[in-house]
Amino acid sequence: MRKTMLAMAIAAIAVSAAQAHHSFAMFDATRSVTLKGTLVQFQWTNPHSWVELQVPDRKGASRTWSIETSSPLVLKRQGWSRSVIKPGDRITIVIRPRKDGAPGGSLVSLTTPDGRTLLPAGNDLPEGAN
Amino acid sequence: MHQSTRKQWLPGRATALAAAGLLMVQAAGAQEPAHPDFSGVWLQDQGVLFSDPTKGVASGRHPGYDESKNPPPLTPAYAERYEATKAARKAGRPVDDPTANCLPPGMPRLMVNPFPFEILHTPGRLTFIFTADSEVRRIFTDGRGHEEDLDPTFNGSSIGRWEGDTLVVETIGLREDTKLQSTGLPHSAELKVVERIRLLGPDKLEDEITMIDPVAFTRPYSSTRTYTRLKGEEIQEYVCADNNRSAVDPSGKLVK
Repeated sequence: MRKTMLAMAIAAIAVSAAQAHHSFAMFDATRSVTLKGTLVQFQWTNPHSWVELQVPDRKGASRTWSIETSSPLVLKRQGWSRSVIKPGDRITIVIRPRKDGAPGGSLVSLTTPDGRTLLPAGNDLPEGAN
Repeated sequence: MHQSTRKQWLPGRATALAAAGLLMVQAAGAQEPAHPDFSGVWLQDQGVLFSDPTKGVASGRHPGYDESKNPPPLTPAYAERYEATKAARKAGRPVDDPTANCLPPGMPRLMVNPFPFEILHTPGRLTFIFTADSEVRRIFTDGRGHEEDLDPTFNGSSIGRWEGDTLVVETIGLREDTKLQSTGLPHSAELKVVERIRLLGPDKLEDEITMIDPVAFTRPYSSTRTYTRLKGEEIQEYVCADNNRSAVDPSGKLVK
C-alpha cells in the first residue's frame, strides 16, 4: 500500500485570511495542512465550490475531507473550470483546517495530477470577501 | 440670447469645437437634458471594505486589512458592538453576517460586492442588476419622491437627481439587521446613503458613497469607489441557496 502521509505544517501566517461571501472564522488562518488524496467529488457550485477528498491515514483507513473554496465566477478568473479535476484524480491540497477538528478546511492551493497548481482568488482577502 | 449669438457666429467657423458647443445648447433646450449613459457591466476596483479601500479585487492575493485606512466613526455603543463581533469571529464563531445564510447583503454593501453588476440606463430610471442572487436596485430619476412610511428593506428606496453630469442618489428605508461590510460593521435603522455617481471616462465609473447615521456614526462616513467597465462580459447566474454548506445559527455555529 502506498503510504500517503498526512503532512501537517504549522505556519504562523500574519494575515487575517478567508475568502467567502461569509466569514471564514471557523477556519484556522494560522495553520496550513497538506493533504494528499483521491478526489471523490468536485462541487462547482455557488455560493462556494467544494472539494471532497478521500485521504488515507497512517493505519490504512481513510476519511473524506470537505474543503471549501471560492465561487465558480471567481475561480474561472483564476483558470479553474468545472472539469479541471475529476473524480479519481490524485490531488495534493493545502488547506487552512477547521478549528473544531472536523475533517475540513478552506483551500489555499490545489495541485492537479499533471502538476498544475491552482489558487482560489483572494485567498488572503479579509473575512467575508467573496 | 446666447443661443442666437452663437448661431450667428457658427457659419463662419465650422470647427468641431463649435459644433460641439451647438450640440450642448440643443441638449440644454430639450425636454429631457442629455445625461451621461452609465449602461454597461461594471466591476469594482477597491475591494470589499469601506474601512480599507486599498485592497483591489482583480489581483487575487491580498494581505490582511487595515481599518485605520478609513476608520468608521462609530458612536461608543456601536463601537462596542463591532468589537464584540470581531472578537467572536476571532474565536471561531462567524456571527453577525446575514449573507452567511444567503440573505442579501443590502445597501450599501451591494456596491462593494466583488462581483460584476449591470446598469440599465433608461428614461426616468436606472436599474442595477447584481451577480449575487440577481439582486436589483431601482433608482428613479423621474421626479418622484420616496414613499411615505417606508417598510424597511434590504436595498431601500432610491431616488436620483442630476447635478450636471453627476447622479446624486439618496437611499433610505433600509433594514437595521444588514451589515455595512463583510467584517460585520453595524448601522442603525436611521441609516441614509447618499451616492454621487459620475463617469470619469468611457470605461470608469465613480461612486462617492456617504453613510449618514446619527445613531451609529458620529459624523458622515464616506468612501469613494471606482468601477471598471467589463467589455463583452455577461453577468453569470449565482444562486446562493444552491449549495450553501456554511449556514450558521445566531451564535455562529454551523447548522449542518
